[in-house]
Amino acid sequence: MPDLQHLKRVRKTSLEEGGFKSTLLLSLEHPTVLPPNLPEPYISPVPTSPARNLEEVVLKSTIWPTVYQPRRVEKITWTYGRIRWIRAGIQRVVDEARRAKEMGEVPIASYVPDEWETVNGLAARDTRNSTKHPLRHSVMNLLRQVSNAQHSPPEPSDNMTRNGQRYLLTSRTLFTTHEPCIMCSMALLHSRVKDVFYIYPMNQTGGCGGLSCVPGLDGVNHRFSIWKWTSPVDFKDALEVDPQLDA
Amino acid sequence: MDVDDEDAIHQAWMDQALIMAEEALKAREVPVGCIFVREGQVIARARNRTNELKNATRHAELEAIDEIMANPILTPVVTSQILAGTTLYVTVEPCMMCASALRQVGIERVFFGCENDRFGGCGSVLGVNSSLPHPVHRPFVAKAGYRREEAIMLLRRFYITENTNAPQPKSKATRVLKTEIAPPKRPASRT
Ligand SMILES: [Zn+2]
Ligand SMILES: [Zn+2]
Repeated sequence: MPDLQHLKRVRKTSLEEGGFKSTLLLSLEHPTVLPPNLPEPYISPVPTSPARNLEEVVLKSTIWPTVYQPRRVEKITWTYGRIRWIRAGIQRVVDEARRAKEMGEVPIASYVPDEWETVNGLAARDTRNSTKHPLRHSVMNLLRQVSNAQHSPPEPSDNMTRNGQRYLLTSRTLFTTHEPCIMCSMALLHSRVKDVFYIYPMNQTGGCGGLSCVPGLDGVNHRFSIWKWTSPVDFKDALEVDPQLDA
Repeated sequence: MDVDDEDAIHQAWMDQALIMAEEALKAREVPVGCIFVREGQVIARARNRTNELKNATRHAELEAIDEIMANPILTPVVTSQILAGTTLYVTVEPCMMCASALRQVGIERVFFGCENDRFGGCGSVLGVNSSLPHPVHRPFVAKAGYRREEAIMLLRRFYITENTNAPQPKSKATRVLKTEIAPPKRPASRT
């Protein structure tokens, strides 16, 4: 029962006359054949998600015993090295976006640093104008580049190819000039990116907090962190785009 | 034409999308297939190719859109509504990525088989097709439940053979293909 994993299988209630009554949780989607000596099953309301704090444990467990699963809060140490690394990533996307503009493109670009910092990483610009294709956003272009850069053929023994998914950006950071649209935000989620840094929010179309926050929705099976770069340097003039555009 | 006749027509198109999903299954991809129909003609057929292309974004819908965009007869001029007058039949509810892409290219309407509880972009997780407001792109209608059971059975056939990723993979011999299908959690049609 993958969707019921946050629930305990058995509810124990103490009886007035002493001893316990155990109630077993079953699922309508996965009917179980019960031994004939048990009473008829009945439908019970249950919480939809695990308890995130101790108060929720108490509240949710009055409905049905619920698993305690606090959200993992990652401790981030902002070393000078890390800030320098982030600033370099931001500078790279700004440079790429400026170059895009010079070439008649929408000034949006994305960049993924190399995993081991040994090479330059991969960058991509928005190309919807030159390709006459409205979906050639910088994130989609970048994901295509990342997959092209992986030369190894898929093997059945390779964990990464299982379940029909290639986890392209697992534990990697993406920098982009503008908050990605819903399509691109979901593409990043499918690719299992770890962190996304952007400079300009897109309040009307963005999928990382603007119009919606795709990695924060109930049901999605991966989360990524979203960071907004706020620096004293303003690139806005050069990188301004229509606020109704999908980045 | 009465509703039953119309449903029969949509189901007949969906049968063609299912053929593409079968092809995906044979290629060991998550079995999702689709066709795009314009003026009573199939203009593109595609299936999921995420493994083959090593790219988690190469879903059937995006494969087909690229094919249509690359064809100068089908796409003579690029406007904001390239797929106006075009209907998509897809075996599984488009994910949020594909639903957003479809809205950005101005799809007319979408018929799908089964819901997608993890990523569904036509109401299951988020209504990217219509309830989510977009400043430019018009909403599109998405209707569920066309050949739903066939679509679910294809997915089950895939996961029963491929899903060895679980912490304690069950041996294939003990895994059983379930054939009973629970009803949809939400009403079958929505806009
Ligand atoms: Zn985008
Ligand atoms: Zn999709």
